[in-house]
Amino acid sequence: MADRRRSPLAHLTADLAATGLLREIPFLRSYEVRGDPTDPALARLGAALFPGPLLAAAWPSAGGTTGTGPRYALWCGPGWYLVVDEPVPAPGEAGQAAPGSGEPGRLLAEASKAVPAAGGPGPTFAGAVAAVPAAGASGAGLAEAIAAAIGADGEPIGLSAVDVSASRTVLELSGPQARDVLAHGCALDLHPRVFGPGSCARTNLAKAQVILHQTAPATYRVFVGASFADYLARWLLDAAVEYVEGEPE
Amino acid sequence: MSQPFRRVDGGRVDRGRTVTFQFDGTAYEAHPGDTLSSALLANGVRIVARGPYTGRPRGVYGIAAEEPNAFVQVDSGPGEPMVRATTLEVYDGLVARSLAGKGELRAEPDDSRYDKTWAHCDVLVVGAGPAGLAAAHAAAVTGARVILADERPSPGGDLLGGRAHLDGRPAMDWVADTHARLAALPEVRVLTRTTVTGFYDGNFLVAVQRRTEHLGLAAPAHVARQRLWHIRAGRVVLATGAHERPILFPDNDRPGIMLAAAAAGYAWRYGVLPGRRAVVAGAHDGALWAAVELVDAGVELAAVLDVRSLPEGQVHRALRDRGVVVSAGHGVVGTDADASGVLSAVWIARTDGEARRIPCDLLATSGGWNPAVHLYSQAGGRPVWSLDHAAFVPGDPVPSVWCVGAAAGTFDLADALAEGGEAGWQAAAATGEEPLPPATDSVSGTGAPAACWLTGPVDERADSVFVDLQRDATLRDVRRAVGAGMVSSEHVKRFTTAGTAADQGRTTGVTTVGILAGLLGLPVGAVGTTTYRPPYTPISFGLLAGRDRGRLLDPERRTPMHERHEAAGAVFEDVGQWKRPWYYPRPGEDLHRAVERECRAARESVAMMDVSTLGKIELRGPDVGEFLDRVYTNRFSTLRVGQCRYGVMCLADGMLFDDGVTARIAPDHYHLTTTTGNAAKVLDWLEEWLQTEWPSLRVSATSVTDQWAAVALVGPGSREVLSRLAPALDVSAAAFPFLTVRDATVAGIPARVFRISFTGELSYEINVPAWYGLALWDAVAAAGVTPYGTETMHVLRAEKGFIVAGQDTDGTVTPHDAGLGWAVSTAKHFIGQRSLTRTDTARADRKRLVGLLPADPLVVLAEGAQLVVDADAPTPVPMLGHVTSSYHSAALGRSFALALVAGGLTHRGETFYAVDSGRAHPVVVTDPVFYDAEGARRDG
Repeated sequence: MADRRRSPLAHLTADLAATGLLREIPFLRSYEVRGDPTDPALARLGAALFPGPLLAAAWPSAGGTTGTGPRYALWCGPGWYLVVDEPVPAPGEAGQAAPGSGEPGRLLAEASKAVPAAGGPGPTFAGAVAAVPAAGASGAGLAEAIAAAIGADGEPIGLSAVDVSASRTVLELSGPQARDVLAHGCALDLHPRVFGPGSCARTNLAKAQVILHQTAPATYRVFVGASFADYLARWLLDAAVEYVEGEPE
Repeated sequence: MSQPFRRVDGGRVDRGRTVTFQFDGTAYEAHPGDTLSSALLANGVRIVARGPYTGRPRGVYGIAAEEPNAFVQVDSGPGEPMVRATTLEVYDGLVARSLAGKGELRAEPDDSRYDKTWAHCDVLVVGAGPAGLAAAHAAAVTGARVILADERPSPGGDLLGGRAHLDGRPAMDWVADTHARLAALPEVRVLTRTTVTGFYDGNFLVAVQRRTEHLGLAAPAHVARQRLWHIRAGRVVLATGAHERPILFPDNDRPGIMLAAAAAGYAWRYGVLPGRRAVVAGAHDGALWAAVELVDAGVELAAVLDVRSLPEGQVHRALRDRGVVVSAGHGVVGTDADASGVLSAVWIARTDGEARRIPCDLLATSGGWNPAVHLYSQAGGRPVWSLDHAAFVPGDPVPSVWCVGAAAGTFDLADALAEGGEAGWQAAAATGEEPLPPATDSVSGTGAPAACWLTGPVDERADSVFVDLQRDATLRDVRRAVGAGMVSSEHVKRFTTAGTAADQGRTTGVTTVGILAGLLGLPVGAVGTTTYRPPYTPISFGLLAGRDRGRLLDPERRTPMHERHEAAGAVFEDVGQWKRPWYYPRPGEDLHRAVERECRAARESVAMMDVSTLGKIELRGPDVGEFLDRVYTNRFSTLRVGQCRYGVMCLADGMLFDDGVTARIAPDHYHLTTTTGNAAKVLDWLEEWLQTEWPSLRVSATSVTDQWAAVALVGPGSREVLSRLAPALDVSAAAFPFLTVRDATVAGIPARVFRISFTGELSYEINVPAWYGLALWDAVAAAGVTPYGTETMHVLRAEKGFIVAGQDTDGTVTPHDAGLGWAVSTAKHFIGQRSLTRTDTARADRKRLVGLLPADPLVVLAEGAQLVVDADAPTPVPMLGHVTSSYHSAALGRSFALALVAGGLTHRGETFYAVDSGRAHPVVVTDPVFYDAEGARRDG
């Protein structure tokens, strides 16, 4: 079955490649996780997603990230994280889940054992919002881990994990000029002494809201809303012109 | 013709090459490295401007940013008005002309590239003269991140072209070495041709870099011509130098009169004689040293005047060695001009003595140096008057800011170097041994400068003593201001306009203050300077716009289906930042015909719309129901899982803010939708209440607007199309009733389908993850469904009397006013509830939503047209309300409108007049639901 998905920057792939410093990384699986930092459920979810030594912080602190492999968490705000994992596989790819596995809301609807608010109606929606079992690839494992952690004690909790995989795409800038290109539209100090690999920030790049993540020296990932991606890519292509075609003497 | 005033050698120009330029229609030659002002002087061009009001000829007066006269219109390249000739680097093909006061903008757009960038550093050093270079070097060797900015093409400041020595070598060798060392350090950025124009809070500074102007017509188009730097600096060292000020006398504005150090600078920095026979008149040692420079450059000195009477010192001996005797206690009392208005002679005299006429073609005058305290002052510093300097100097220190060198009143080279090095080292917060400054030749001073503002019979000739050359403001204007009772330099500035021109009174601002102090009988310090505000030098609008032009001006938000809309020939409408299809004209169709066809498809068969732009928010947590009960006027905690409800939100003032449909996906999971334009505002509103008022509610809000692409499938044929696309979904009215939501696979794509309607027709909104949006659109379109745009959507919803928040409401409309009282609960509390019981919000004669039918069914009323009872009533005509939405309806076969009218439907059946642009159309007030009032079509 052909992949019927279209990434937000598919139409600019060649233009981005021509710069030698820009590319789109589409379809990354991602969840926005929000919760009270004192809630044990949040710690439990963190431990499940990022197994590590005892007492190691699973969730990043302000301006930071955790996770070193394809799965990592970006700090977005107090009690607010973006968990990113490998791309959601195309339908028909080995090990991928049935259509619908990337569909937001369903996982938590299924996983949450929360009771309705006092006086509210009971769930009568069972046949409508069907559970889709997650399996296989790392991304689907992420879904399972989230479901398990959130629903563990059967009590209503204030923890939420929303699948936002299709909300954003990623523009990656790499090369010695990446920082200079970003400086044309980003007010943050990206000097390695201040913002090195593993740093992240929610900020503005030009006039788009982004999450900026430095993954390696001279490599940055820009998470941008799908509807803003065309604008931001065109802005970056424009900002890169001098670095691609050469500066004045 | 070859540059008659060019010296045989000397100067930092490339004599091996020649460029050609035009000024006022005549072609001249110059060398690379010349500015337009040095090139004009080299060619003997004395008149470069005219007084804007007097028309008097004016010549080159200064040598840098202080220049008051030589502003020119550049006609070559992209063209530019009011360019300072003293900083305009000559290039081959430059075309410029003189101005009288103001330039003109070209009518054509300037398509040069301008851009902006951000930069951060530990230490920003402004000015790359000796003090600035010393500061930058001392800071940089500690490893600090340093930016050194200077407005000239290369570092050196006043050492450029000068003859000073450091460590026994020419000072310019030290400049070159230091520059090279700085350039080699990885954390140092040297920005030349860069003027720091503003100093703002938090050590935020703005600088303008001129990057390709000096390349002239050879400038590559892809390179930004200018760049605006936004600099965040940990600390700032201001080594901005000083501006020379003149002494004023009658007829002080003639071409041939210029500042003394500027005259010497032209001779040595550019190898240009500013004149052949000169009178030098000053009030401080610097003027006398300028005379030495001039005579060494080959200028005949007809007289050297010093208003002071001092014992002989080093500079007097230097002049005597050259055969020149200083006339102590002498000043200029007037000047003569030739037929063209150019200086021909100077009248000099001792105080109360006889005047003597000295023919000459150059009068070099210098009343002293004003430290360039502009940025210090912008940073919050208060310049204070110093008797020792006879100048305003930086007063109390500003935290994390250092003033060094001439900018601090330190004019001695050795002292400036030491001061710069010390400041740079401190600014870098360094420890350990401080670098030693280079040793300089010792120049001993003779005496303190005198605060001398005026010489000659200035009272009798007050209208020929110019206190501002660019504004043609005179001493008489200042006297008149004082006569009118003004005592503040700010008032006098505004009354006389002195100091308000493009040069911002850099040469004579302090002089005007001194004159004012004299007239008022006050100490100069008690009068004080006027306020220095950014920008230090003008910034072009092109640069302020940067790349924010055309398509990059504002983000265009696109839905995943955008390219299909383009391919279908859609005409787009801007809704907030979104690009939405307005209508899809087929060949030969205009808006009216296309919309009529699209409406018909939705009402009679089946149509589709891209509704991906609707704001969508996921609300999760056990308290979402309670939270929604508080923010919506109606109740949501009772909503059953799988159901949807239309909700209305008010602000605290009880006015309708937003509306939309919210679905309950799971007991602790709601999916809320907002109007397209309000998505971000609603999310902020929810967050504000959650974070500041009700933190105990366990609710989280996540924007999923971009997560979901959505297609509205509308019309009596929609159920049949959906059943084909989603064979596993029971689409029967019983199994999938109105206001419910189902998960399904639609066209093989995982989807969430809402049965809701914004048209009154049977309809579904199919939501899929955004990356499937295009595939979904194609699949629905392949079923033979007609796409429609926002205009058709508006007609369809208005026919049903459905409001659009922000179009039919304007922040003064309550839910009751909008006919939505049915959605306002009386059994619970919600935001805005108490406001709805205010006397004013409960008035019976509030403006309320009604329908209007124009008497002429072909007339589509203007939205915004005012409604009156009597179109012929005398003004002021009482206005009852206004039209909020107005369309032609295919279903009704006529025009119709929605309106807000005082008293609302109490006027049902009455005739009003809708007045617009002088025309009054009779209209009848009706119920706002025009189509299918009983709601029979909703279930297909």
